[in-house]
This record gives sequence, structure tokens and C-alpha cells, in this order.
Amino acid sequence: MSSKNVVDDLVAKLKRRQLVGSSAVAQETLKLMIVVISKAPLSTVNQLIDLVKSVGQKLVAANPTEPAVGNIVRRVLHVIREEYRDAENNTNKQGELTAPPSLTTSSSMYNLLGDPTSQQAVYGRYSHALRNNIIQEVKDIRIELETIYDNIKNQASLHIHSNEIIMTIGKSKTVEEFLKMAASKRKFQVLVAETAPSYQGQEMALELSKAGIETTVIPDSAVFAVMSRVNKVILGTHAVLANGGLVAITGTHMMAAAAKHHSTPVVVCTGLYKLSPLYPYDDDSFTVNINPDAVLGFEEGDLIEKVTVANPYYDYVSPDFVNLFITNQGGHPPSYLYRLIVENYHPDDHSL
Amino acid sequence: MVTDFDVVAHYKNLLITSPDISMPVAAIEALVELIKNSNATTMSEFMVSIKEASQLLKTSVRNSISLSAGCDLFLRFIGRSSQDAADFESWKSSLIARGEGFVEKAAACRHKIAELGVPFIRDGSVILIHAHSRVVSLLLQKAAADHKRFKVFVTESSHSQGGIRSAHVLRAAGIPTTIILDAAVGYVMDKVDMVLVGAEGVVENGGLINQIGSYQMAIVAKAANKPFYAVAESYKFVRLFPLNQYDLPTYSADTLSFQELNLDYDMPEDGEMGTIKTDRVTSPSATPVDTRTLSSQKAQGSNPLVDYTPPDYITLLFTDLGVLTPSGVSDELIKLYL
Amino acid sequence: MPPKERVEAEQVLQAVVLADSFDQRFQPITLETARCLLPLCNMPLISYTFEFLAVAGVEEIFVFCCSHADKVKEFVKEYRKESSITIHTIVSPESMSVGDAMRELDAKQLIRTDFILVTGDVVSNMKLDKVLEEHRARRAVDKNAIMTMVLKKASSKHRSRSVGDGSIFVLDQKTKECLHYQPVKAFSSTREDRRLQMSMEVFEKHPEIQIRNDLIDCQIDVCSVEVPALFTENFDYQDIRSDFVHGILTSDLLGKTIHFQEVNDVYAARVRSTQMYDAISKDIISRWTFPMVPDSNLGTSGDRYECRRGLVYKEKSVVLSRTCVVEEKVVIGANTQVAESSVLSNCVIGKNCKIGANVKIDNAYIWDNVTIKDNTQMTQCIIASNAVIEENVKIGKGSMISFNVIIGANSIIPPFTRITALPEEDEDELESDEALVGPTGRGRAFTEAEDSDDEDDETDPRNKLVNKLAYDLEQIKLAAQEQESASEFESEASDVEEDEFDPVEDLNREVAQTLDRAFNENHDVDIAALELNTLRMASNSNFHEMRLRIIPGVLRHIDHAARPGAGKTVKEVLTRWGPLIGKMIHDEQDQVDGLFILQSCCAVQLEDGHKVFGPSLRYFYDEDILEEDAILGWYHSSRSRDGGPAELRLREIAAPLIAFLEAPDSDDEDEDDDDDSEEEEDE
Repeated sequence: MSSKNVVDDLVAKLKRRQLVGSSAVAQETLKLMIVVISKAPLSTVNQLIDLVKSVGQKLVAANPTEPAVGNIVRRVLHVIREEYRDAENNTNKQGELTAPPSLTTSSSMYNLLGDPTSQQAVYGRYSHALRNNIIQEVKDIRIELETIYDNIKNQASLHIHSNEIIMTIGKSKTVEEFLKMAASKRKFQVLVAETAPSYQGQEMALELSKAGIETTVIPDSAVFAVMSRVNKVILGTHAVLANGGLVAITGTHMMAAAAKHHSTPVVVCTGLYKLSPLYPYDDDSFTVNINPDAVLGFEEGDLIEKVTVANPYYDYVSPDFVNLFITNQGGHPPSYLYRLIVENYHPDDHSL
Repeated sequence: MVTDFDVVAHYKNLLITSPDISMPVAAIEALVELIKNSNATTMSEFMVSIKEASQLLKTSVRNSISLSAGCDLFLRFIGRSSQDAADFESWKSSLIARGEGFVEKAAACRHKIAELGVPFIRDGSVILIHAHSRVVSLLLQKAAADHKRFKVFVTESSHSQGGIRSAHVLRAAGIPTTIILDAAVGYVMDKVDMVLVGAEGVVENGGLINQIGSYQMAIVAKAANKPFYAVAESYKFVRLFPLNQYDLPTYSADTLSFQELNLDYDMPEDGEMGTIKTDRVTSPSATPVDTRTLSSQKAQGSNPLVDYTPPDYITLLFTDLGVLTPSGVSDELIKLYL
Repeated sequence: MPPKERVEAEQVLQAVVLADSFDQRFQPITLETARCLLPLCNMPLISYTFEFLAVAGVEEIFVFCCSHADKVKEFVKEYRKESSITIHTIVSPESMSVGDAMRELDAKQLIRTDFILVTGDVVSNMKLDKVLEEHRARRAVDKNAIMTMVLKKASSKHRSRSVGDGSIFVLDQKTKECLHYQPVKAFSSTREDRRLQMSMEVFEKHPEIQIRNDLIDCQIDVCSVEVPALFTENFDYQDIRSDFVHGILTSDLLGKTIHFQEVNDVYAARVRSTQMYDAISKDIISRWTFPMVPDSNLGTSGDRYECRRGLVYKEKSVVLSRTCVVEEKVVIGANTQVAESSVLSNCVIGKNCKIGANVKIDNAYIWDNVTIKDNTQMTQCIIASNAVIEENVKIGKGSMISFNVIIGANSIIPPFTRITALPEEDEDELESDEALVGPTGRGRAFTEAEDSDDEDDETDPRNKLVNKLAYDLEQIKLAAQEQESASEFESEASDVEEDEFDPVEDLNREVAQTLDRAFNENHDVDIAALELNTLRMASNSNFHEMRLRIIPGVLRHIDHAARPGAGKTVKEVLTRWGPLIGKMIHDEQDQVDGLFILQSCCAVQLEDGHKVFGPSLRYFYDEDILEEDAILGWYHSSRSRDGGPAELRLREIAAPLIAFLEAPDSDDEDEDDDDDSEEEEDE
């Protein structure tokens, strides 16, 4: 089956870390999902859901530290269920009245006392029209992924005011667009932490300064010292977890903690596709330790035998440190994220 | 019409015969029995009798938060479904069926919660638990069965000796457990990686009502930056919004009050103050008065049995609806009562 | 030229993987399976190579198998199911070296474009794009750039440098060319091993060169399509570096160049020996090879490793007892169980192992299905699959326990022991060595067969040992250095003597031989003179030396007792061979010198030399070889008066001639008569 090959290809790319970065991963996964759904046999919707779930499991297993993969798969599953429900409701409108429209999800407490004879919803009747609808919706998700930056940057002028000093870390396209849009209307300064050992901060500073923003690069160790002069901290992130915690580039936790100490607001710009229904079992769950060569060169033969060198790529930032999430669906506090999760993912899909 | 069916006795009987059952479930089961034995012929009569019965239940038990939660849930359910009822008899039988179904599902709830909570227990972690909670014990047993290696500290909970019961259960599962004094929570907090408690009830803002000592533990955990997890079945969610410790509804006067220590109390000669009699009859949070000799009772007086922990101190709640943040609880409650 | 480029781009990138290492460093384990299938951090070695090639974008791989080809083929078949690369296996059981394999490859004509050549045991996270690009760009310009080697910089004492397989590269950084290659052994025993010889022409083309000893040679090469053909042309090329690279670079005729690419921040190494196996395992565990780390789960066996703090990689189904201690840098495979109080550190444990209570494992590599019972201790060793180690065993460092071996209880295995369960070559059944493995054990000690080594006898046996696991280089190096410096001086001295041949003796010999030849074969004087002149020039000598030898050499042939007609009388010899002497004498100084020689020769070296002296003198004077002034000069010189009585006597013999010469213009005839009468008197 050619879709199997496509799946294996993506699995291999994820395993070999040839495909990194949540945006790129999300786009590829979405493309794959479209292929899988188009090629899936027309049987019951349940089978389609199982198929998509099994593909999702493979992809997630290939790189468990990249939550964007799972997020996209869950979005697609949610779309499938929603479309099916809509299709059923439409056909039922001609028939008798069924249960009230579900604000309740199938696992609410109410259903504990629900009809003991009723099984879990059987998704049957998979028709061509349904498939087309599903594919259309999934393509809408793709459009959404592509227009994320527009939605987010349009909120920029609400949050950034003239003569403010903004601090950021790492290189995030979202934050870059956000700041560039704000710069077109207001004048402010940006301090960028250099983000050793990848030095992404330096690249970020370069991009920002090309757009005419007054940028300063500071070493990571100077973050706390300079924080007292900063008005806002704006961060990008690799993933957002269900409790509102962040998985962001190393150094973010330090910056957020410094900001909290100085009561400086921390704002996170992120697309919703980065929101994952997973919880951090502990601080290490999403860390990836990469090649230590950037920290201590491999040539130092004597040293590397005696010393363990760690080069963690991501940090976990607890939700206490974050004040606001600016997403493509508006601004929300961390405590509101559960709502977004409920709206975008189905509880049965939380664990693929 | 008042029936001959003694709901309270039936309830207490249930607790004796199935020790694993939790209070709200037993209450609902008792109410289901009541429906079966009900002679009411009209809906309103029926509703009144049910309401009275649940009131009786609530007042009969000293610590009735979770019981009230269960009763309220059932009443609410009855209220809603009465609108859809075609005729009385069929509705009655459907209620009975649903109620029994619920009792079955309720047992599965605990296992579901335990499954959710097991990944949070990492290899090599140290966990602090409070007194005795069946769900927490089940969770830890499952984790041990999963070959996770961890250690447990449990507070003694001297008033109910719950900690000692917990220790028995956990040690039987091969988990190294240490019993600590209730007063030693602050002392031990630096050594632990997380705190895990059960729940009597979960209130609307996501706060927790649990055995006395939980609030203290939560404050210390927050000060030491340790995660504080609570496990609760979803039928324990109550529509309350306490603003402080004394806002909890009490149906018996002395749940939250302190009575004076008996001033002319003498120490008994036999020194049997601390006898442990694990009583199968009562659930751990029920009154321990019966298990003690009169002298020790006089010495301690009556102490509150539950306290309220505000949601800021709680990291996550493990429920059968999934892992929730405290703010997510209110959402679920709204869904129920809408 | 756009159309041509397009055609090239369509061609599929090929790679050749040499699955056989053509050496025996991993014996006895490699007696039972191929080296490239051995697990490194629980993944077969060749998987790492395939992964590396997949990342590089290779679409077609040729795997060259020799030993245990069936096992390799089996593995490749399984691997193919999961991967999208086309993999072909080529079996050639007679190949003994890389050279043979390349010749085979050329014979089969499978290579169509530039290809990547690696061995089956390379571990690397490098992306080859840049190297390929540069190679292709170079090839487009210069068809003689046949190979690009990938080299990695590392300090000299780096643990990933194979100690016994060092190399010196002479590089030109501007043109990225490699100018010379020299293998370096750890212990050099012969003089050649310690010296680097380069031709001077190299310096003409490359004004700036670097001589580097700080490079790890990963043996990852991007070869052009001509390389296999070159191997076929030069039948004796065996090893790719010491023969092929060395040969191509030192051969002026071929005119091919070899380039290099130095990489710095990626990892590349080859598992060439057990010591490297150890080093590379440690590198993988310390994540230098990211993303080729155990928790990327790149293997096809569906493992799910997780990396925890302290670099502990545990598969999900591992069961660890409560009291066991897993320290740091440990990899534990699926379904393994570890019992109470055991301590694991710095080790790799495979699948389905059962480790008993109170076991201490440090720095060891334990493969699948191994049972280790209580109270054993092991350090720095390799234990292959299905082995059983009973209670209370101590395994010394550097040991290798091969497949299916059972070590009985309470055995103590000495360090650097290798134990195998295979029977001896000529036997069917295993004869267990009870002293080693105990009565319940199963295994015998393994020693390398003497002739299995195809290095010549001159090499220091320490060079082989140095590649072994756990060989402690620090101690040995210190001791060896002292020895070496002493012996070096010795050999220097002896070298001078033995090597510099003695020119004097040689010349004597040569001249004597030439003269003998001339006499015996009755050469023409001219020819003989020509030969002697040539000899003079070849030995960088001068006429004086020649005269010293020729004059006695010729006169020696005079036999006083001979009858005239035999060519041996004084007159005959002189007549015949005198001109030869004449050709050695040119100006007056030569003549005087010649006279001195004649004098000393007749006085000392010849029997009855005095009989020869006079006639010779006469003859030379007559033939104008010696002139009046010279003779007079000789006679009157003080040197002719020195010497023994024989010399003086010769002077007396010459006196009449002198008198004659000094007499003012007397008749020639008188002189002749006088001389004749003297001659007759003497006879």
C-alpha cells in the first residue's frame, strides 16, 4: 500500500531527526493525514478512526518529544467525529428527535447515570460525502496552520506599547512576526538572550534588526541582571502542555523565573496546533539531550572521558510563570487552556 | 407516604458488607433500594420521599460531604429525567436500572483513575500520602505492579489511624512505607517528590475537601515547590463554593467545631490510649468514636474531620473524566448542572 | 551545460558497504557470526551504517559479504522490509582484503556513478551533503580527483582513535588534496616504521602543507567510478589506505589525486577493534552520536528506550528489583530482569537477560539472553549472547566470552582471556577446559592461530595487543618509551655501519675484477680503459685511486718464470698492458705520482719487484708515458729516498737511466745499449 510507504517515510524522517520544528512537523503530518484518509477504504467511521489512530501511534512513537505530531492527529480525529455527528444530526432531523445537542461530552459525569444499555457511540455509515467533508475540514486546518502568523501578529499592537523594553529568547518565527508587526506601528526596544549553545538568539536579533527594531543581544547569564528594566517578556515555545506548562528552548525557564521574580508579565505567542492534551509527568518528560559537541568539543579527548556533558535542548516551564497565551484564536490565560483542549480534541483521543 | 424501608440502616449495612464501596455509591444504592420499595404512586410524592430519605442519610453520618455529593447527583438526575418520563412505572424501573448501572460503573471509576495516575509516578520517586484513601492505595498498588520503584511516606492520622491502615496495605504490595507523625509533614517535605491525597469532595472552584491535615500538607507542599495531586471520582464533585474553612455545609453540628477538652480528665491506668481497632464497619473518614475507649475520647474531644484546600495549592486532579486542572473542574460541573 | 547536469542528477546515489573487516580482531566471537552483525548498544553494527547512508540520501546499497555471508543476507532481508532503500548483497567468499572486494566489484560492473565506500562497522551522524557536493564539483572540473576521504579532527589521546591504526596525513589545505599517507603503529619496531619519506616534487606543486597526526580516519570515502578499475589494474593493492592511497599518491605515472574533507562538529568512527567497540559504545551512551542514540529507537526491532537522568536508557519492559542500583551510563534492553542489590554502571545489557542478586557489572557489554547468577563480578569484558555465568564467578578485565559458553560456579577467569564454546577446528565435539570454566562449564580458552596473522614477523607483537579491550595503554607506554629511546640509539649506530658500504673495499674488488676480466678475455686496452674509467666515475673516485690499483694490478700479471710467448713475461705484459697504465697518467703530476706508486709497488707488493722496476721504467719512458722531467723529479724527490731498503735499491736500479737523462743530449742508441746490457745482466 503506498500510504504505508508514505507513513514509513515520515516515521523514518522523524526518527532520524531530519524533520524538526513543530511547524514543519505539523505540516508534514497533515499532508500525510490527507493521504491516509483519501486512501482509506470506505467502510465504517469506526474503522477510519482506528486506522488514523494506529498511524498516529506510529508517528508519535517515532519521536515522543515532538508533541505537534500527536496534536495534528488528534485534531484530525476530532474533525472526523464532528463531521460524523453533524452528518448523523442532519439525517436525524428528518427523523425523530434524539438526545439534546451535546454540550456534554461522552464522558461527563451525567453519563455515569446514563443509559446502561447504550454503548459507546458507534460510528457507522461512512459515505463518500462524509469523506469529502472530512478532507475539506482537514484542508481547512492546513490553511489555518499557514495563516497562524497573521492572526497572532494582528494582536501585536494591543500588547506592545511605545518605549517599552521587551525581552525574548531563542528564535521563534511567531515572535518575530509579532514584533515586526508591532514595530511598524510603535517604537520599542528588544533585548534578546543569545541562547547558548545554539546561539539562536543571535540569529533572531539579526532578523529583528533587519526590520529596523532596536535590538540588543545579551548573554544568558545577564538575563536576571537586566530584567528589572524590562516591561514585558515575550516568548515562543515548542509545545504547550495541558496544564499550561511550556516546552521551550533551554533558557526559557530561567527567563520566566527571573520575570516572575520581578513581576514582569510573561506572554507566550503560539499557534494552537502546539497545544497538546498531555501532561508533564515530570520535568524531564519532554527534554531532549542532543549532541554535547557544542558545549565541549569532542576533540578534548582527556576531558570527555572524565566528564559527562549534557546539552538539553528544551526546558519545561511551569504554568505559574506564564501570564498570557496569545494564540491564533485570541489571548487566554493558562487556566483557560483546558477549554481549548476540550474544544479541539476528543477525550478518547488523548492517549493515542 | 413514608415507607417502612429504613434507608439509613440499609446504607450502613452496605458499608459493612462491602468495605470497598465508597460512601456516595452506598448512598445511591440505598436510594435505589428505596425506589424499589417505594409505594409512591405519583411523581411528586415520589420526589418528596426521595428528598426526605437523602436528608436522613446526610444527617445520620458525621462526615457527609461525599455522601451529600452522591445524593445530590442522584437527585439532580432524577429531576432531569422526570421531564422525559412517559409514565410513572416505566420511569421508576428505568431509574432503578440506571442506579444499579451506576453502582457497577462506580467501581470501575477507581481503576480508571489509577490508570491515569500511574505514569505520574516515576521510577525512584518518593511520595507522601495522607491517611487512608482507597483510590490512592489502588493507584500505588498499580504502580508497584508496573515495576515502578518508589517509596512512600504516610502520615499517621492519629485520629483515625488511617495512616497505619495505609501502611499495611502498601507494605503488603511490597512498597517500602514509612509512617510519619502528622506534625512531621514539614520536616519530611524536602525528601519527597510529590504529594498524593484522596478526596471527600471537590468543590466548584476546583478546591478539595479531604480529611483534616490535607490543607496543611498542601501549604507545605507549595512552599517547598512540590506538586500536590488529588484523586477523586467524578461523583464526588459538589456544587459548593466555600470561601474559607468554615463555609462547608455541616449537617451535624460538631463536624467542624472544637469541643473543650475535658478539664478533669485523668489518665487511665492501663495506658490503652492509643489502641488501634481497625473497625470494618465504618469507612475511614467516618466517626472513629466507636473504636476508642471513652477515656481517650474525652481526652481528645471532638475535632474537625475534614478541611478545605483552595485550588491554588492543587497542581492536578486525577478523575475518571481525565486529568484535570482545578479550573477544569468547574467546567465539568457546569456541564452537569446545565 | 544544463542537459548534462540533469542527466547526472537523475542517477541514483550508490554506496558500497564492506561487511567484512578482513581481520580477526574480534575472535572468537566472529567465528560464529559476522562482525557487522554484532550489537553495539543493542543495535547491530551494520544498522548504524545503513542509517548513516539513509540520512545521506543513498538509494542503492551494495553489501559485500565474505565471512558468514548467509547471516548477513538474512539480516539484510529483514531490514529491507522496513526501509525504502534498495539493498543488494554480494557474496564473495574468496575475498581476503578490501582490494579483492573492489576487484570483484569492478568485475561485476555494478557501479555507475560516484559512490560512497564505507565499512559495515561505521557509526556516524554526519550529513554527507556537503562532502558530496564538493566532490562532485571537483570532479566536474578535474577528472583526476578520484577520491575524497572524510577525516575528523580529534586530539591525539582521544579514546575514539584506534591506537594501533594511527595514520599520518600530509595535506594541502588550499586544494584540499592529500599528498601523502603513512600508517603509524603504536609500537614501531623497524626503522622504516619510524620514518616518513616523501618525494621532493610534492613541494614544488604545494608550497604549504600540513603534516597531521590528529585526525581520526573514519574510512568513509566518496569514490569516483574509476576507483574499482584502479584496483583491478594494480593487482597487489590490498588495503585501501596503506596500499591504494599510498600507492596512488606515490605513483607519478597515474597522476591521480586524492582529496579530503575535514569535519569538525560531527561524529564518525569505525569499530575496528574491541578497544574501539568500548570507546564508541561510550560515545553513543554519552550522546555524542545524536541522533543515533538508543532512545531514538532507530532499530527495527520495535524497542522503546527512554533516556532518564544519568544517561540511563531503559526499555519499557525492564524489571528492576527495588534494591538494585543502576548508576549511570547504562543501557538495558527489553524484558531484562535485575535482582536485588546488584550494581550496574557504565554497561550495556541486551534483551531478555536475567541478572541475579548482588552482581557487580562495570564497564561490561552483555548481549542478549545472557543469564548471570548471584554474586558474580565482571568488569571491562564482552559477554556474547546465550552465555551463562554461574554463581560467584569473577571475570577479569579484557575478557571475551563467546556465544553459548557456560562458566561454572566459583570460577575465576583471568584477565584478557577469551573463551569460546566452539570445538577446535579438527574436532567435532567441544573439549571443555575444566580448569578454566569449572566442571559444570562449557568452553575452552581461545588463542589466535599463529598463521592467521598475515602481518609480517617484524611487527611488534604489542601492536596487536594494543587494540584489545581494556588494554591499559598508560602503563605500557611509559615502560616502552624508555626502552625505545635506548634501542633507537643503538640501531642508529649499527645502521650507519651496516648500511654504508665500504667504498674502499668495493673499489678494490671492482678493479681487480675488471682487470681479471680484461686479461682473461683478452680485451682490447681501449675497452679495458673504458671500463676502468666508467668504474672510476661510478665510484666517484679519481685517477690516483685507480692508479693505485691498476699499476699493481697489471704488474702482478708478470710471471718471471714464464717463457716468452705466454704473454706473461715482463716485456710482453708491459707491451700489452702498459698503455692501460698510460691511460691513467696524464700530466706531470700524475706521472710523478705514478712513479711513486710504481716504486712502492715494486718494492713492497711484488715479488722480485726490482726485476720489474727497471724494464717498466724503460718502457714507460720509451712510450712517453713518463717524461724526463717527471722521472728526474721523482728521483730527486725526498720521498723516493724514504722508505725501506727495497725502495732505495730501486733507486739504484734507476740510477743509470737518471744518469742518462741528466747527461746532456747523448745518443739514444747508447742509452739503449746501456739499458739492454743492464737487462741482460739482470736476467
